[in-house]
Amino acid sequence: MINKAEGTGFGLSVAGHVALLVILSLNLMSVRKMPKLSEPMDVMLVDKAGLISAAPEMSQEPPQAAEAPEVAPEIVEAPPPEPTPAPPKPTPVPPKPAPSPVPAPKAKPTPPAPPTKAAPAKPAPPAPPKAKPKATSLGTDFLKGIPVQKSTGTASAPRVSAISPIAMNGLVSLIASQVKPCYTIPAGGAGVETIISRVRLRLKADGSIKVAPEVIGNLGVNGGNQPYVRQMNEAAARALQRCAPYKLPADLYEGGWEDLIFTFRPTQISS
Amino acid sequence: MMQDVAVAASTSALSPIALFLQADIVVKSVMIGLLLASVWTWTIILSGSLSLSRALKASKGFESDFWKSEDIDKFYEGPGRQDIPAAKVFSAGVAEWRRSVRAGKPVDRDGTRARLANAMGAAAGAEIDRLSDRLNILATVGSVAPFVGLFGTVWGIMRSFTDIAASQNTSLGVVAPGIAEALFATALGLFAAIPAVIAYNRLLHRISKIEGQLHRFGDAIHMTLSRELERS
Repeated sequence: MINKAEGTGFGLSVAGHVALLVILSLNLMSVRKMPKLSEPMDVMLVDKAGLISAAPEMSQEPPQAAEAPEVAPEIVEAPPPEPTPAPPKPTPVPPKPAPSPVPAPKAKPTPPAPPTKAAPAKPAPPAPPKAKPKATSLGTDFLKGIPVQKSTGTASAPRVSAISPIAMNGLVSLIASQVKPCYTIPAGGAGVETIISRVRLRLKADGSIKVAPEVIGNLGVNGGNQPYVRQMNEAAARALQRCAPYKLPADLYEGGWEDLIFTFRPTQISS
Repeated sequence: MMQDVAVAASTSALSPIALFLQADIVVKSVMIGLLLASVWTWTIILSGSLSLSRALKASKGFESDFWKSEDIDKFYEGPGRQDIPAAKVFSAGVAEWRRSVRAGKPVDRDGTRARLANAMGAAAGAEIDRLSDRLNILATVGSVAPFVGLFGTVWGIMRSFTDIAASQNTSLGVVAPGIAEALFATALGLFAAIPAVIAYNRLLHRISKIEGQLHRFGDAIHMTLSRELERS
């Protein structure tokens, strides 16, 4: 049945198919990394708290409070007292530690304060900004939620100060660059980009995960995007798990990247 | 946690082999069938185009040799015995001529002409049949492979929807791998079908070219021999 020409044709076609299969296998594997690099979404690692102890406890309350509109007043009131004490202290250490110690003491007093002052009508303006503009209005939100942690972290942790702020900044951007490729925003869902997930991650000295990432709070949640909060949190936690183990400088482990709090901000660069 | 593991596994498994290994038994058999069809298609394409171009070239060479030759009988004994389509037509004509025109017998001119034309037409037809033997496979693969692939895809998507229903989870990480694997069947179907269709049309065109050439050559021989008839 099969003549000589068909024999050579058969050999050639089998060889061609095998070669194509090999090329595709290799190619698809390398291509797989490309889409991650060209992620349209940006993850900003806003905060890194050094210490385990006080940070989580403090964080849990403010974020939850932020969801409810009633608590908003507190946020507004908090800033005014802060700025005044802030300037004096930053002078010794400009980069990071400076802002952190300031909010610490103020953060706790704030909750009691609102009841006494009976919450002025200001809250209305700050609440809507949460939903839309990220850079500015969420920044104020952050001042409320995050500095609390920073402060507690730095205040109660003498170890953190052992790492220079410059090294800390480098560390933060290093971690961020390693996590970023793994973070994908779940598709769909209107208003998803305002949801900010705060995830705590504890690492071992070899860069692998010690305790599975736990979500410690959300910001920017409103009625519209409420259903997607869980999805966003899962995406953030998944990103952290997928990128492990992390390659980080070993000398900065203790008091540095041993215990981290990530803030995932799905902001769109283009808009 | 389990979800995350599943997601990580699925993203790392986009190579064709992994897609195949993950697939359902039905989808697997569809993929194997399509792959075999593709291999067979390419076998036919390569061998067919090889033998066709060889036949075309050899026939042309044979024709020019024939017109250069002085003596038909001598040419018939020498190069006329080759396994070339044009040589087959030529030798069929000459054999019929020898059978019809024997020494010492009255020659039926019209009958001889008709028999010569029939013999050479039959030889040309046999050669064309031989060359176009496998073409029907190309036509079949070209028209059927996309449907087979589509069948695999539909089956795979049905299965992955069942999985989604079972796992109660609609995140893209659960849905995507099954659908990617199912679509791979359609990709294979098209992969087999597209070259088959192109090659079918191309080879058919070349075969009809050879056929025309053979018939023209047969007619030329027929004219030569019938001139011979009138002279004798």
